[in-house]
Amino acid sequence: MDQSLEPVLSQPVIQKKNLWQRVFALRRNLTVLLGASILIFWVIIAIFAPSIVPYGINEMASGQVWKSPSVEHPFGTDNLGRDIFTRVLIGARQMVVLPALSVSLAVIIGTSIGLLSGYRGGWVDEIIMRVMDAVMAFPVLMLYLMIIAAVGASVVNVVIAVAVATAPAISRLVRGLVLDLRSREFVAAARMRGEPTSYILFREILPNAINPIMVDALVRIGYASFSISALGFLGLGVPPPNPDWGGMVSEARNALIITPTAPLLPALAIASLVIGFNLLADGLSEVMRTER
Amino acid sequence: MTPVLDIQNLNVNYHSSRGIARAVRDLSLTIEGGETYGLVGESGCGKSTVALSIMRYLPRQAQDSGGIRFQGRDLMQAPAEELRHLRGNRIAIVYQDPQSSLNPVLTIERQLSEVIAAHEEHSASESRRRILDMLERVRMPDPQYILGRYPHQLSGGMQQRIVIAMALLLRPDLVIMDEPTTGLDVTIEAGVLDILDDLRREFKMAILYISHNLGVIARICDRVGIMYAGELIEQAPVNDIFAHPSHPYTLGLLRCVPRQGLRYTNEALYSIPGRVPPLTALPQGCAFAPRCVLAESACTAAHPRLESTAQDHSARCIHWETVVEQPERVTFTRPLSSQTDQNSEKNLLNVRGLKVYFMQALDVLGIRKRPNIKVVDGVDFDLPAQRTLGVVGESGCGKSTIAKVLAGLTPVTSGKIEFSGSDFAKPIESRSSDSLQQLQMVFQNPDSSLNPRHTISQTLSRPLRRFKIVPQDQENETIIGLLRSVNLDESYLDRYPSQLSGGEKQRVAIARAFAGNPELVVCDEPISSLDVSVQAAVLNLLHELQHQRKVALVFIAHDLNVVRYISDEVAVIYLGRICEIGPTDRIFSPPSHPYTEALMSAIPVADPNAQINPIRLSGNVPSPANPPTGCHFHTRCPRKIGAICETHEPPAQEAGDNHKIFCHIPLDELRVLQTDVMVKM
Amino acid sequence: MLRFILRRFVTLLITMLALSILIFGLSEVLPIEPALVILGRESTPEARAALSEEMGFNRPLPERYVNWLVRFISGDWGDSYRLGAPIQPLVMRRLLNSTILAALALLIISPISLFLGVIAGLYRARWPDRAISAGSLLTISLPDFVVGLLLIIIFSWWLKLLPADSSLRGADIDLAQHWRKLILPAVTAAFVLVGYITRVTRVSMIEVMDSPYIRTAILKGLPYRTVIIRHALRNALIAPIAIITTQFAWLVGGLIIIEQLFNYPGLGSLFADAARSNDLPMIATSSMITVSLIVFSQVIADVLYGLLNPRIRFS
Repeated sequence: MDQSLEPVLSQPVIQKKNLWQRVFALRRNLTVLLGASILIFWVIIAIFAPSIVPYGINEMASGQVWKSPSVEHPFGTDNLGRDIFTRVLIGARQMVVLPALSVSLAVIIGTSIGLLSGYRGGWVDEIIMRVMDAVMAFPVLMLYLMIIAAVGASVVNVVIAVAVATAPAISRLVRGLVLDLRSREFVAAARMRGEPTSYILFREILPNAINPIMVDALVRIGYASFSISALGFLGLGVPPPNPDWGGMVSEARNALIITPTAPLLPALAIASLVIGFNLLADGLSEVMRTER
Repeated sequence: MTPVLDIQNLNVNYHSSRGIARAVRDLSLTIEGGETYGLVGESGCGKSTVALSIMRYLPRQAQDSGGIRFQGRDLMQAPAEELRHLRGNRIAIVYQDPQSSLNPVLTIERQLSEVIAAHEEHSASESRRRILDMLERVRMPDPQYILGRYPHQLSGGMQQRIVIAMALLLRPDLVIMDEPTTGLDVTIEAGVLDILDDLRREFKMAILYISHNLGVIARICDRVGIMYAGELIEQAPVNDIFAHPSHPYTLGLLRCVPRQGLRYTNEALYSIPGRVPPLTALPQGCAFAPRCVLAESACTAAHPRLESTAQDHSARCIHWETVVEQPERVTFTRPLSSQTDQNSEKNLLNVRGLKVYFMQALDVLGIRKRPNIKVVDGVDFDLPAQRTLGVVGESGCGKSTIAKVLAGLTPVTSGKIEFSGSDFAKPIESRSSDSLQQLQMVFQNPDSSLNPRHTISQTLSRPLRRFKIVPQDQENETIIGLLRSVNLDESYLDRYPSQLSGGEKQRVAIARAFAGNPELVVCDEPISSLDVSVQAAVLNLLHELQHQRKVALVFIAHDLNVVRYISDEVAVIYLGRICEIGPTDRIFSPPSHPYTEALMSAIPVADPNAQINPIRLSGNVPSPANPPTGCHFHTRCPRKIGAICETHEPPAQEAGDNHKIFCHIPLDELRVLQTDVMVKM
Repeated sequence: MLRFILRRFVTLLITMLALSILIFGLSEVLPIEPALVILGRESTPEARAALSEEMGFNRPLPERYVNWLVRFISGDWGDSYRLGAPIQPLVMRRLLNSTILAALALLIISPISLFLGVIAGLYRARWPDRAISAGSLLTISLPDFVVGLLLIIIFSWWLKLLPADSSLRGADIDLAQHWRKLILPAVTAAFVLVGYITRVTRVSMIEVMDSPYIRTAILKGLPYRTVIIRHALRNALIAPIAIITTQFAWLVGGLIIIEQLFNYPGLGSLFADAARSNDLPMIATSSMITVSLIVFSQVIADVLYGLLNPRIRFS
C-alpha cells in the first residue's frame, strides 16, 4: 500500500477515560454533586441505622406519647411512645431498597417490552402499545390500590405493584429510542451481515439506549419512593411492624397540634430522598446533553 | 467614498469547557456599494461567524473584538435601538434552510408585512402592494395565493424565495447571504441563483455571499475571499482567484472537485491530505502547514502575513510565487490504478422491471392501504463485474430506494433482481450468508453508519467473523491491513467513532463494506455529507479499493460531476424511472435526454467565464403518489413536443453502444438541438 | 386535520376497550366474594350461593364481561355493596366535586407555571432561570401529603386562616358557601403540578428561542416585545397548553391522597374507600369513569395541539 495517493493518517492516541474517571469527573456538576450527596447520606444511614439508633423500633421507650423533641428523643415520640428518631432511621432501609428494587424490575420488564415492540413494529407493536396506553391511563395510585387490593399488602406485593405500574412508561421510552436507533445505518449494516435479532437488539441498539434509560430510571425511583410512602400514608403499604415513613406521617397527622415535628420529620425525610433522585437525574441529563 | 461594509481586524472567540475556540482571527475586508463579495470556506472555518458578528447576533459564549463599520457607522458600539433600526431595514440576511428560518405558525403575509411595519409607516394597502411587487420580482407564481399560506405548505425553493423577498423588501444597502442555496436541488438552485443575479444588478446593493461551493461563487461574485481555520488566506477579484490561485489551499479546493468532463480514466482527483485543525488547538505558524506539500520550517516558525501578490490580489503564504508558477508541485497526483480487464462481459447484476411502491392510506382512518406511491416505477439495468454504475437524480427521484432494495433493506413490489445467478429480489432476512457477503453497502451519513458504542476494531472484526474471512489468530493483522487500505493506521483501533472526523468515519465505513470481500458494493451518496477537501480523498480511496479487490460499484449521488468522474456507466433517474442509461461518455455528449441536459446546465461551474446554456426547469418535482401521465418529465420538460408526451410513455431509443434514451424526440433532432447550445462539454 | 381527529378517536375507542377489559379483569382477580361482602359473615353458605347465582356470577367470563360493558355504557352502574345504594348519583356528585377542585387547581397552575416557564426559558442559565428551576425541582419532589401537611400547619394551625377539614358533610357543593374549604386542597394540588408544567414550558421556550425563525425575527429588526409575543410565545405555548389539558383529567381522578388528607368528598376518596371495603362495582365504576376521562382528555389535548399548530391543521 506504499504507493498510496496520500499519506496514511495517524493521530496521537487520546486515552479514553475509564468509567471511574468519568464518574469522578461528574463531581464538577453542582446538581449531580448535591443529589449524589443526599442519596449517599441516606444509603449510609440505611446501612448503619441498626448500630446508630438508641432504641428498638417497637420499644415503647418513653411512658409519654407525642413527646416533643428532647435530648432522649431527638425527634420526639409517637402515639405509642416509640422513639421517632429510631423509626425514621430504620425506616430509611426500606425506602432506600424498595423503590430501587421495584424500578429495577420495571426497567427489566419495560425494556424487554419496548425492545420487542419497537423492533418488531407492525401489529405486535400496535397491540402492545395500546395495552401500555391503557395501563398508563390510570392515575398511578389508583392502579396501586387496585393491585394491592387484589394481591394484598406485603413487601413483595408492593414491589410488584410499583414495578407493574412503572413498566409501561419505561417501555414507551425504550420503544421510542429503539424506533430512532433502528433506522440508523449501523443497524442496517448489521442486518446486511446477517446478524441475528438478538445481536442487533442487545449489542447494536441497547448499548446506545442505556444512558437515557438510566436517567429516566433515576427519576422513576424518586417517584416510586413517592408512591410507596403514599401507600403507607393510605395504610396500604408495607405492613407493620416495620416503620414506614408514609405511615408515620399518617399516624402523626392528628397530633399536629401537639407536636408538629412528629409528622413533619418523616415527611421531610421522604422529600429529601425524592429531591436527591431528581437532582441526580437532572444533573446527569444535563451532563449528557453537553457531552454530545 | 466610504465602503458599505468595512471590517477591520475582527477576532471572534468561543469559550467552552474544551477551551477557547478561535473561530475568526484578524479578519479584514471591505465591500463597496453594488459589489458582491464571496466568502468561501469549509464548514467550521468561521465564515458564518463573520455573518453573525456583522449582524451583532453572536451567542453569549462568543466574544469579538476589532472594528465593523457599516456606511461609516461603528456597529460594535451601536446601541440596541440603532441596531434594531438597521437590521432588516438597511442590513438583511438570508440563511441556509429556509424551512426553519420561517415561523411555522404565521402566514407568509404576516411575516413579510411585519418587516415593513417595523421600519416604515405605510397604509396596509401600500404595504401589500410592495410585498406583491417583491414577490413578483423573485418570480413567485401566484403571489396573491401565496400570501395566505403557511411556510410548510410551500416547497423548499419557494420558501427560499420568500426569505429572499423578505430580505430585499426594504431595499437594504447590505445583504448577507449565508449558503442560501445549499440544500436545494441543483435545478432549483439554478433558478434561485438566476433571481439573485438579476436582483443584485437591479438593486445595486452590496452583498456578502457565503458559500462552500466555488461554482456558485464563480457565478455570482465580483470579489472573493477564501477562509481557512478562521483566517482570510486569500483575496482577489473573482477572475484572478480562478485564474491564478496563490495559496496552496485555494488551489487545492479548486482541484479537488471533479471538473466537468473529468474521468478517473484521465487522472486521479487531487485531494488535500489531512484534516482541518481544531479551532481550540491551532498549529503554530501557518494553519495550513500540516496539510501543505510546500511546508517547511519557515512556515511553522512564524505566522504568515497576507501578502500582496498582484493588483488587488493577496495571499497568506510565503510560497505564493511557487503556487502561481508551479501549481503542479502542489496538486501533483499519481494516475489511478490502471483499468482492470474489462472484457468480462458477464453481467454480475441484472435488474428488470423493478418497482417499489410505498403504502398510501386510501381512507380517512388509514385502515385500507394500497401500494400507491411509486417511488421506483419500472427500472431495468445491468452491471458487469468490476464496473461502476452511477445512478444520478434529484432528491426524491428514487435513487436511494434503489440502493436499499439492492441491499434488501426495502421490500420489492415487483420485478426481478438477479445477482450472479441468484435471486436478490427478497428481503435481507431470507438471503443466504453467501449472498449477504457478496453485496455490501456504504451509507450516506458517516455519523450514523458506525455504532457509537463500538470501537473501530470491533466494528471491523464483526464482518470478518460473520463471514469467516480469516482465522481468529489473523484477525488483528487483517483489521490493520483494512485500516491501512483506507489510509488510517493502527492508532485508530481502539477509538470510538466520536473521536473521528467525518472523513475518517467514512473511511472506516468503507473498510467495513470491503472487509467481507464482496463482489458488489452499493454506495448511497457516500461523499455528500463530507467537506469538500476530504471528498476527493474518499472518492479516490473508493476507486482504488474497487480496483484492487475487483469489486463492482453502484454509486448513487446527486452530483453529476462526481458520478461522471467515477462511473463507467450512468443511469439518470427522474421520478422513479430511468430517463437515460449508457456508457458515461455517451451520456454526457449529445444526444442526451432533455432532463440530463437540464441537470448539466444547472450545475454551477467553477469558472467565472464559463458560457453555459441556461436551461431552466419550471415548477417542482411532482408527487410520486400521482405522477404525470405519459412521460413523467413532461410537466417540466423544456423540449416538450406535444400531446404525445402527455399520453404515451416514451420509447427506449437506442443511441448506440448500449446507450438508451427514453424520449419521444427523435435522436437526430435531439442531437442537432443540443450540439447548437452545448459548450465545453 | 379531519383525518387526524378521526384517527385519534378510533385509537381512543380501542384504548377504552382495552381499559374496560383491564378493569373487568382486575375486578375478577380480586379475591372478593361479592355475596360475602353483601350478606356479611353471619350469612349461610347456601344463601351466599343463591345470591351468587342470582347475580350471574356463575356465568362464563366473556358473557359477564359483555353484560357488564353493555350495562356500563347504558348508564346502569349497579348498586354499591357497601352502601347498598345505586352508584350512579353518588359517583356523579363526587365527580362534580372533583371537577370543581381540579378546575380551581388549574386556574392557579396555568398562569403561574406558564409565566414562570417563559421567564426561565428567556433568562436561560441566568439567575431567574436558576431560581425558577430550583423551585420547580423542589415542588415536583415534594409528595402531595407533605405539601398538604405543611399548608395545614401554616394556614390552619398557625395563622388560623383556613379550615384543615374540607368535608362537606353530605351536602351538595356550593361555591359561595364552601369556597374556603376548597382553597387548601386546590393549592396543594396546584403545588404538585406547577413545577412540572413550569419545566415543560421552560424547555419548550428554550427550544423556540434557539430556533432559526426567532433569529430571523430578531434580525428583521422587530421590537423585542413583538419577537417574544408574536413569534416565540405562539410556538412555545402550544405544547404546555396541550399538556395542561391532559392534566385536568388527571386532577379529577388522581387526587386520592389530597382528598383523603382534607376529607374532601371527591372521586378519588370514593375510590380509596371502595378499595378498602372491597366494594367491587364501586371500584370498577369509579376507576372506569376516571380513566375514560383521562383518555378522552388526551385526545382533546392532541386535537387542541393540532388546532394551534398550522403544520397539522393544514395537512
